[in-house]
Amino acid sequence: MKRAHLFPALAIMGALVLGTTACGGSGTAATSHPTETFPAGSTMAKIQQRGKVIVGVKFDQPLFGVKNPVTGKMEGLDIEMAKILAKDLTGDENNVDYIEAVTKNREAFLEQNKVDVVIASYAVTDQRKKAVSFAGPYLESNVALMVRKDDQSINKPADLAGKSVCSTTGARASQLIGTAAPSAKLVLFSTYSECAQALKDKRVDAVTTTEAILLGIETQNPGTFRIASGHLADSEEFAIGSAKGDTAFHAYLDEVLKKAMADGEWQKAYDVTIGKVKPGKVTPPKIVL
Amino acid sequence: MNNHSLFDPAGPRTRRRHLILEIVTGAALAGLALLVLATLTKKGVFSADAWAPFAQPGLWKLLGQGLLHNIAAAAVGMVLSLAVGCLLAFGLVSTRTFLRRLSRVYTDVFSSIPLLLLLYFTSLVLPNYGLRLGDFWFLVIALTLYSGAVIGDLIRSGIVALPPGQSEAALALGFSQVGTLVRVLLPQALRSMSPALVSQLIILFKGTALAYVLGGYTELLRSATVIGQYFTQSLLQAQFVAAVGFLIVNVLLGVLADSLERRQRRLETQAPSPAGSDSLVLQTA
Amino acid sequence: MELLFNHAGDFGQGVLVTLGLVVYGFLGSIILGTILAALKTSPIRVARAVSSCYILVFRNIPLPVQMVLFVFGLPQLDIQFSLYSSAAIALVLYTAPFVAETIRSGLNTVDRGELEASMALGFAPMTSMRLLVLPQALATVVRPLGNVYITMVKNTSVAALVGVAELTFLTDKLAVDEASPFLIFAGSAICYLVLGLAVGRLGAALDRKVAFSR
Repeated sequence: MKRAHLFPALAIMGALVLGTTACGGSGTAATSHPTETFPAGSTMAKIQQRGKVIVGVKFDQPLFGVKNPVTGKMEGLDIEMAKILAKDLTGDENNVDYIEAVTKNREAFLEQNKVDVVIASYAVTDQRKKAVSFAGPYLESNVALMVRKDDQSINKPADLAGKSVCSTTGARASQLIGTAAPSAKLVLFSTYSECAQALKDKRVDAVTTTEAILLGIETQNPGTFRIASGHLADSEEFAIGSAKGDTAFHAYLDEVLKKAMADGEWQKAYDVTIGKVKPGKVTPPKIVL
Repeated sequence: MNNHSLFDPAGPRTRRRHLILEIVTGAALAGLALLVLATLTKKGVFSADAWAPFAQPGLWKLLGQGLLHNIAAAAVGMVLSLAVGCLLAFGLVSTRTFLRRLSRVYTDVFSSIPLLLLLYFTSLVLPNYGLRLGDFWFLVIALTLYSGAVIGDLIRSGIVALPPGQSEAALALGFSQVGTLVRVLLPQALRSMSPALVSQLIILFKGTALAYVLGGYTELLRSATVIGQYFTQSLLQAQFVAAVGFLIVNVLLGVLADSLERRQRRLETQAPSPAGSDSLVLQTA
Repeated sequence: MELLFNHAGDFGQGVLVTLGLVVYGFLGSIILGTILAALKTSPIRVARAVSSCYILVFRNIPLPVQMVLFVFGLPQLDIQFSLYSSAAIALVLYTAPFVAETIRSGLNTVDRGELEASMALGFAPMTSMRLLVLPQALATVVRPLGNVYITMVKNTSVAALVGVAELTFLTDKLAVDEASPFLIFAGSAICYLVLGLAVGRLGAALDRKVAFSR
């Protein structure tokens, strides 16, 4: 079935491994079930041996990575990506250990090898690139603005002058405001739902973060909010973080993503998560990292 | 405990006036409550939509687990604080000046730094020094740093308040300095300070809620926050439920502290002054 | 050290905001606390019940929960304060029960016989309360009240959770940005230490003063 897609991927993989590490000699391309084999000592082989992928994800970011408070199950696009990875490496999408990663400890988790990968609505920035190797991106979005439905005065970042904007502590959006609308007053809460409540109460005039998150909030509060047409930033890339320097693993992650995008798995993952608030056929982002 | 011990029993006319006052204030309060409820209803705070998530048992499981996590962190924190507190108390009553000063500096510093700051400190700084711990331990360490200092001071005052005959007798019986402290003075100090220690446990328990800023430890407030993230229309409802959860546990702890205090007072009044019979009563209690 | 000097402005800002919370928190809670204590010792049952309920609820719910509920809940009643004022008021509401209990225990220390004696001498109940009971009660509560307020200084940090840029908020922000968070924390800890010491000293000085007047 999907085996057919594996071979070209593996060929590239093999070449990359040969090119970057000395131990590529065994060259054991694809053997049989459950999946391909990798050079001994590689991260992929280690994960296969363990039988489980250890993934750092968010537990509280609806649509990306969230532990459903009712069922206790993990949900979101990040989780679907982790499942795709687990399926490719171990043959079963359930072979994932989810570890809660919060914004502050994502880099540390990778440095300390606490997790194999971080898939935690991890936006690519130049600063983060210095500490982490990013594969993907698996999603391209934009940093949008959410305002009250009846408030027509804000449609683009420049309209924020003199207004108050809400974001969360440590979020990238809060830095973007500084350049896009220097005279805007920034209010920081710990969650976006608090921001939404503050917007509803007219304590702030706008909430800013990734469009998908805002769409999720908008859907849950019908008739209360709307997304402004202008964006704070147009290209926000979400990628899979892995330990810096493991080029073979990075190349492998890129291949897995490419394959998923080619065979429709990515679209399926999108449809059951972010597609619910932003439906439609989406062109997957180009793998550039 | 009798609330108006300062006043004479009221006469009939005063009683009537009080009754009228009571009815008036009662009515005013009821009216205010109704007004508040009406406004909240109008704003949709009681709407079925906002409370719908709470119809699912899974949600209550999450909240219940959260509360258990608070209790666990407070319990572990309390045990460690007691250990640190005992050591600090020994330092504080030590005859060595250096040790005494050092312990005093520690208690003064850590009892005046906010717990939230300590929590940020443990979670941000300790990992830089190779301490790879989970958020549970960052919380417990922060609690212990702070609470150990407070408890150290509490135990010290308990030891100091004991009649000097206690340590003199122990020393005369051939106990070593440390033995006197550990086997004679400390047990009595702990017992006499038990109501204050339970009060400190309440403070500790309330402090565990701050762990929600770390994110990695799902205590009750964290659970409520996650529920608010998932069901954004239920943010306030989730926080309210969390508040009730904390309230119930703390009221129960408060009842415990009160009963301990009452027992303490009963023991003190029962026990005649000679030190020997005093300890006898304490042992049988 | 240079790091600390570079951020001296940030720290100064944070300390000022914290100090503001301390001042408002003190003024508000001493008033509300006294009212609660008066209600609790009042002969009117409803007043006692109201005071007891208030103390029970507000003392036992953690401050972060109260802050969030106050900041986001009160607007549902069409009442809205700025974040700073909300934080200050939440701090007052949380601290007042502790003040009330301290004052009440002070009132209890006054011997009933003294009140009876003053009544026998012809003083009206309110006058003897004002001239006899309150001065004595206040003298005994200054020291424990000092402790309540040292705790309140620390509790101002919780305002950071609702976006008030006070000392702890700024410390966390700087510590995340800077390479050596240890120094940032040390600087902030010193600020709190000084604030706590100042409050403690003030309390001690006041305690000596009222002790003389006895």
